[in-house]
Amino acid sequence: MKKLFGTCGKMIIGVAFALLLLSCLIPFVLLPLMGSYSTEELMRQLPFTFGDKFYENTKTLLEGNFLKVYLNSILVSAGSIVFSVVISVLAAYSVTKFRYKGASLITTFIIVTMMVPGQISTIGYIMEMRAMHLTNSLWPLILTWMAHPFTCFFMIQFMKSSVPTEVIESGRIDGASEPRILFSIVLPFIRPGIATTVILLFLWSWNSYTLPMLIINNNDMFTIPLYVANLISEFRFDIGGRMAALTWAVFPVIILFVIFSKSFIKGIASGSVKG
Amino acid sequence: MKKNNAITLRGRKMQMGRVWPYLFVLPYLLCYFLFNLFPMLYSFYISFFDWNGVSPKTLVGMQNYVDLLTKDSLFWKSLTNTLAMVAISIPVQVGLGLLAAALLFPMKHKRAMESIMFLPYIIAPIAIGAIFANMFDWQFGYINEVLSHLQVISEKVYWLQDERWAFAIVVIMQIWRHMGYCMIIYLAGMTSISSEIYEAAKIDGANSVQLFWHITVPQLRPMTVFLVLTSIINGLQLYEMPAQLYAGSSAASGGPQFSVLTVIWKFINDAFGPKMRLGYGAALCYILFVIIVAFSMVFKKLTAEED
Amino acid sequence: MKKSIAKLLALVMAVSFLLCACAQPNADDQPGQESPSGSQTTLAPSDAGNPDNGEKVTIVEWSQGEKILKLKQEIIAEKFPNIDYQYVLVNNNDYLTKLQSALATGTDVPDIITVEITNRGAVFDLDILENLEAAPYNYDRNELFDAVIPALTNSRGELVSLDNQFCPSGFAYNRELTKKYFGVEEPDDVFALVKDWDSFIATGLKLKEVAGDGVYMMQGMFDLLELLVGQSTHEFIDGDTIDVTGRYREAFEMACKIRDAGVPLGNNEKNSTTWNAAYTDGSVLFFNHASWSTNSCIASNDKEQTTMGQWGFCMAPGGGWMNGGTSIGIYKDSPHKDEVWQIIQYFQGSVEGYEAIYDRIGWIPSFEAFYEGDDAPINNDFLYSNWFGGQNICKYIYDNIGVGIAPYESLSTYSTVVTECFKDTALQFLINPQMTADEGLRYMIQSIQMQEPNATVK
Repeated sequence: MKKLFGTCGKMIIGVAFALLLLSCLIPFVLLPLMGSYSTEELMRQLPFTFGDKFYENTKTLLEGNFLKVYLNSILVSAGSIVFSVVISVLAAYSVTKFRYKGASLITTFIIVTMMVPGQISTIGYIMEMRAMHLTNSLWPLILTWMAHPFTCFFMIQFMKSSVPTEVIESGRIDGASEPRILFSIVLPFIRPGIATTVILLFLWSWNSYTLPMLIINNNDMFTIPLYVANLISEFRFDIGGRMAALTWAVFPVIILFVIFSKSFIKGIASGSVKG
Repeated sequence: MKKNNAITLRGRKMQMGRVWPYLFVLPYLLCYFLFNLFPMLYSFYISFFDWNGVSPKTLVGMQNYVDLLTKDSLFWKSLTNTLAMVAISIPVQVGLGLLAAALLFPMKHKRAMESIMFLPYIIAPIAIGAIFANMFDWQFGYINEVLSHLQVISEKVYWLQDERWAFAIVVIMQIWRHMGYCMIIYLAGMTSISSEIYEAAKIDGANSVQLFWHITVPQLRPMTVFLVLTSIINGLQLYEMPAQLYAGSSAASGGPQFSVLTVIWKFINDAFGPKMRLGYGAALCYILFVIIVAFSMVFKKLTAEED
Repeated sequence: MKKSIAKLLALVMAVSFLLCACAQPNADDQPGQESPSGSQTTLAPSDAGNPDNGEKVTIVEWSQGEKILKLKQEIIAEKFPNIDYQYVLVNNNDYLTKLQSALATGTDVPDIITVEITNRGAVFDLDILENLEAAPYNYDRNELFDAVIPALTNSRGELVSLDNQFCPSGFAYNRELTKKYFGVEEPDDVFALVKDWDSFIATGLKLKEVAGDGVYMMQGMFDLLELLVGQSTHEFIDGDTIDVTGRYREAFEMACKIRDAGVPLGNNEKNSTTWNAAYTDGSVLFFNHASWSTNSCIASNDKEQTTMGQWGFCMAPGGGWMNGGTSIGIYKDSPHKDEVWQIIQYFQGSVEGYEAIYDRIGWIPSFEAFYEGDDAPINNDFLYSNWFGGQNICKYIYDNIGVGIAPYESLSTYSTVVTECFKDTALQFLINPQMTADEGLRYMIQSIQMQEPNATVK
């Protein structure tokens, strides 16, 4: 009896878990599914199989400035990643592998500032960008990631745990310059950590909507989330096109995730758990 | 961790060695000051003014804060909404994450399932909002379609136009997005629990449920603390998903009777909506900041006392 | 060592690539709009024709509805070679937010500010528009119909905006459907079915009998309320006092009466996908219709033109009302105010300029000159009258509804919030078939009061 109950329970749990998994897959099926129909078809009958309009919807998008928008998103993400990672690695190296007055203070500062909600600086940031005459460019969307406390904190954690101090010392004794030590000795150790931060930064900047919405007014400067939110024809929403656009927006994220999922999941878990 | 205690080179090298760390940390500090701290302080300054960004600023002192806390019932509504969303979603998302982790942990080929569970966390909040808006559309959403097919409902339900349903949907969105993340963190935590503890307990005759409750859960305490704290901080800043839920609607923002209006949504409306009250919006953000800090401190204190 | 240098090099290259790419937009805001319109290329010849007419001035307008903007772009390219007219498509729901953030960031504020009727209170209140009656513009408001002036002036009484279209409205209907259910199709005969609200109710009940489920008199409570509210305009905001009850009670009660009588009304939320679909799927008989609706509602929803020529237009029960509409003004800090005024004067102030719009888009203007005399453009056929089988609905609208229509209400700082809350309330009526007029009023008052704690809402 008890055993029967046990198998029943297991089955229920199994089914529930399967449903949970299924629910996680829904959007990734729904986006291309709905994106493969015209809006008119979608309204007539909700589809459960793929249609043949995906190419057409994409073509309509490309006739607009979707390509330019896509490029903007790539630029913003690439810029954010490069700057933020370089700056964080340098800072993390400095506070973990050198002993100087203020190192621990800076570390505390970084940890404390992680808690600050980003919106608090939004208004000031917009005004600042206005004063710097940068509001007509993609720069504000990149600069905002430059000194990102979480990225830096993550790098610090990683640097602490996976770069043995002895290697650095021996490098110093060999007379290597500090930048060289960083590039040729430290870098290989922290490569997995960098991979994780790169993906995280990519996710954040690629998916970011609020700040671009407030700061970008020029169609030519739109990023994908902005473009999708503004996708209209005359007075109505083109659902098919919107879904196709969203499919394209999600696509690179999935590809990256599939390729790097192992190091990503590992990285994100280790980074936060050790905190 | 070992302290690096041997920077012992002489002469010029040593001089240089002194400069390098400052040089390395400088860009970060500079950028933080320029693009985070300064704007923050400037926002704080603006919060004492009545300003729409176009006409000249008028100094109003604490008036913005006073108005928000005493007069603006919509602010309180948005705050209670947000707190309720956070209070409901966190136990569920953390619980589901823990259960899923416990189920997955003993499995051998879990990589695929792990990744699937994590997918909702990586796609854009506005995409999630758009998907949910479509699924719950009363007229041609999948939910109504499927439910009426299965004859669960006789009439189509106005999910997004009903106060309680709208609220529930936002909570579901929040849970759905974050449960995979919680699971990943817990999975990582589980690998660090030594198997000896389990062995010992098994010898004492504990069954798997007892093992879970008496060993796994307490051992995962640091992860739970981390998850709850970060979820509170992130949850209080909820905006994009609920806002996108109503993106195409002709209704006023905040959902039916402001039932899903969040604090940040209210901030965007006040600062960049019809009134364009930048000072008022800045003040609102600072109140939220104080709330977040208060929560973090209380939470840290609570968890520290128990330890 | 070499490896690290290579890496450094790659990094530097990546950074400099970024620098170039990000800076690029600043350098070339001239060609800007590389895509949505192909008309950029058609511009070229006139450019070449005037090699040294000095600097070309770029004027930007934000709006929705690409067709009209494209048309304007073409005409301006021909008519004003000194002006490079660019447009940005902005969804009406986002217009205010985007305008505010542009003002806050101080960049990319459009030179021409286009304001939808519901946003006018808020935008005029920002004090960002030029007074068009002052020098150097010296526009005379007597050129306009008196009825539209309250919606074009700010709280100080300055005329700051000119109408894009004159918006008296009636019903558009599909002749095939009225023929099918009632055996009539000519405007006069159809109007006899709905000549007052009692006839409307009777016709509605009859429709239910002959058509059964799934066919409705109107799109839903939302559109019905909009019509009734539009017909009963009168001033109701006095300083900080908003008399919601006095303003909306009558309309709410009438709508409830019609609904409770059993008239089949649809369930479509305004501008929703199903609302748009109703124009072609035969589920709705009567559509609220102003001159602009032919382009924005019928033509844009019927891309395959299956209902071409099937439409008819008649008066709505209870008379005409002003339905929607946009107006445009000059941004105070635009560097090219003179050029903007040239454009506005041409399209919004001259018969010649408006004729093209009338002809191609089917809009009608708010200035009298367009309608005066036997050779007035209003007497001509226009492209969109094809949808109505040649019926000149613009002339019909002007003669039967436009003349003597009740004026708009004056704009106040509260107008936008009140309108938003009205929409929200109308939505509640739509989804809750048991809602009474009193409940609606209470709901609306509460919504307004929450957003405007300083106002007295009754």
